[in-house]
Amino acid sequence: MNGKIHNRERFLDEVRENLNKTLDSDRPLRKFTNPLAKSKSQLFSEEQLVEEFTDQSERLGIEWFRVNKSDLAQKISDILARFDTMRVSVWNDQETRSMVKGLPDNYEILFEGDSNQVLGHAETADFGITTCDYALAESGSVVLMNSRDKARAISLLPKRYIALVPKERLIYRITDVAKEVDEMDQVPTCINFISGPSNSADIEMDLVVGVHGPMEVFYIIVD
Amino acid sequence: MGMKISDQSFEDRTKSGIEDLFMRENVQSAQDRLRSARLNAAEDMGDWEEWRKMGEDIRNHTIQHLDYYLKLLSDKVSELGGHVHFARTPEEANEYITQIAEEKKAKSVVKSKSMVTEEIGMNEALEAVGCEVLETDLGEYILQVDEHDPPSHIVAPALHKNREQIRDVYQERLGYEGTEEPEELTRFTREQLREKFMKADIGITGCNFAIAESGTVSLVTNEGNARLVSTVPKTQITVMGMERVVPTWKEWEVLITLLARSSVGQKLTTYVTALTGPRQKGEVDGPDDFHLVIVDNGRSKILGTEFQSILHCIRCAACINVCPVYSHVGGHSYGSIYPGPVGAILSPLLGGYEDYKELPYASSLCGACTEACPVKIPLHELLVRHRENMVEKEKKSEMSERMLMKMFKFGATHPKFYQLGVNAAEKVSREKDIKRGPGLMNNWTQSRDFPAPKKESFRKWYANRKQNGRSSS
Repeated sequence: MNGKIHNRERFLDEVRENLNKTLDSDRPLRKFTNPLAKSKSQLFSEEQLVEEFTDQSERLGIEWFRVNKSDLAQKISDILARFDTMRVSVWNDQETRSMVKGLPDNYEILFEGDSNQVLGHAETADFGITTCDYALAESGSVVLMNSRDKARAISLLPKRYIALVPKERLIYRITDVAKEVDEMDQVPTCINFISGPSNSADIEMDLVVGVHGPMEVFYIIVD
Repeated sequence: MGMKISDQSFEDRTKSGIEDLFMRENVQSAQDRLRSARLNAAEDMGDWEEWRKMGEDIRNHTIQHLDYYLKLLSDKVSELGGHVHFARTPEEANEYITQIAEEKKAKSVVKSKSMVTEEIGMNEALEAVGCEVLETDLGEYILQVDEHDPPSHIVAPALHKNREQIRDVYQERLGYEGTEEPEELTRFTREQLREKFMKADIGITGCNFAIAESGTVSLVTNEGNARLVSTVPKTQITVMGMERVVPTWKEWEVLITLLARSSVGQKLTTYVTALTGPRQKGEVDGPDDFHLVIVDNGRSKILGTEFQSILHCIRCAACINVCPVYSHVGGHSYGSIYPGPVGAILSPLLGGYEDYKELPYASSLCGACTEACPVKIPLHELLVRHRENMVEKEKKSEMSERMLMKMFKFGATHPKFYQLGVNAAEKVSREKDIKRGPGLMNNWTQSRDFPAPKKESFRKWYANRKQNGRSSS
């Protein structure tokens, strides 16, 4: 159902009056493309993208690993074992479910598909695990688009966060994502670009990690 | 709070700023770091000047067609099931927001950083209907705990405070028992706020950019508080200044790039969050209700004037971080939640010359701000326009200045008096610069020497020069 719009006409009349213009009958937009960034994704080979991505991740204080799909469960459980881990909140979509298959059963693995439980679970979880829709080499970011089984809270509320990055999802920069999203019929309700652990420099410009979101972030690149 | 943050006179404000050496040291080292981070991030792009040009074009185009894009934005948000409220005044905005709070019987509101909600005094309005409003940005939270100390920088609001002061405030107000280490203070804040987040009824955010074509609002933070505010509570309200819109994701991407690099020198901020409507059927988290409040509050009056380009501002604070005046007087001296060069232009436009007449003069017109601006707003030129306006149209200059100018005009347009003046200047002239001037000149000589007039006036030199074209000396 459409939402309500209040007080629009007199508000926009005032804007138009001050701009000294009439209502645009057509879309005023000239076709905009960013001429400065378009070629970069094509210029980099897959290996160069991995190199740039891991370089940037290190600068952001993200610990990264690169494994074959068959070794993924082992790598995840190695990371979990380094901390006092009990609960792990995981995206409930097919891909993520299949990627975390084979984790040892001494952890409580929660696939978050229930809206009544997701916040409570994620809040008390030691780790959150998701895959990603894209990863950006230039800024060391992962891009998460939420949908039914891909809850926002998993990459946010748990103490630590692991992003699984299938190698072919690597692209150069945010420009490439913007282009894709512009062409979507239905834009996801929440798209997050995440570049490192939550941090702040609000006290004397001193960088502190772990303010509201995860205190540590791990990337596992999957070949 | 509103935009105005002090009832003190401009002179008193700047005096206490200049005398606060501790604050000035904090501010200057922050400026240095932010400035060099920005320069590195710009250089890293390779073609920064072209990005700036692109940013300028996008902002210019969008503001020229603001009515079109606001209509498109509101249509899209509505299609997605969100509600849009256009508010011309703070009262209209606050009335709508408090009405939602009352309908939801909300007791607690968590809020991520938003300058426009400060501008309209939203917190006070919500508190008046019995809501607890909690700032969740670390800097803003510190200021709120310290009995609403006003912000002094639009990106780092608590820049004027040092760690010991923050520890003392926490001890006094929150029973904090830890040290002054930022890490410990931050951890304590995280625990305090996490509990509040989980119980909050309403989340309120600002808006860095709204994307008209998809009905999206986007938020940038490093802390993740805007994500919590828009993930946990069942109701989300986003408040945006009406100029904060872009046509599509393609333009958005350019401005996000310029914003992250110009404000903090990051390639992207830690979290860039783009929210498109309320939770859709089947999704497991996100708000059930979404309200977008679009605020004018004096902005439409700027459209169509010589100041229109100030609405291109993307609130990165790059101009503040390079301003030599800000560095000496600090943010509170501006008397507005918008300090620095952008504040000196915007505050008089939104709040009137009466309260902010000194700000356009609180500038050396060095142009560092204009050079730093990622969307190429001619900031120092707009400051000159303000001065012109005040003197010529509004007659807002000081009585003494007007008298002096009248005297000068009289002297300069009557040759006899002019000659008298020139002769007098020669008489008082000394070899050395004037270190302590009389009367009005004293304001100048308090901080630097005044160059002494030459012994010989140009006319005399011209009359006495040798006729063969060489000078007499």
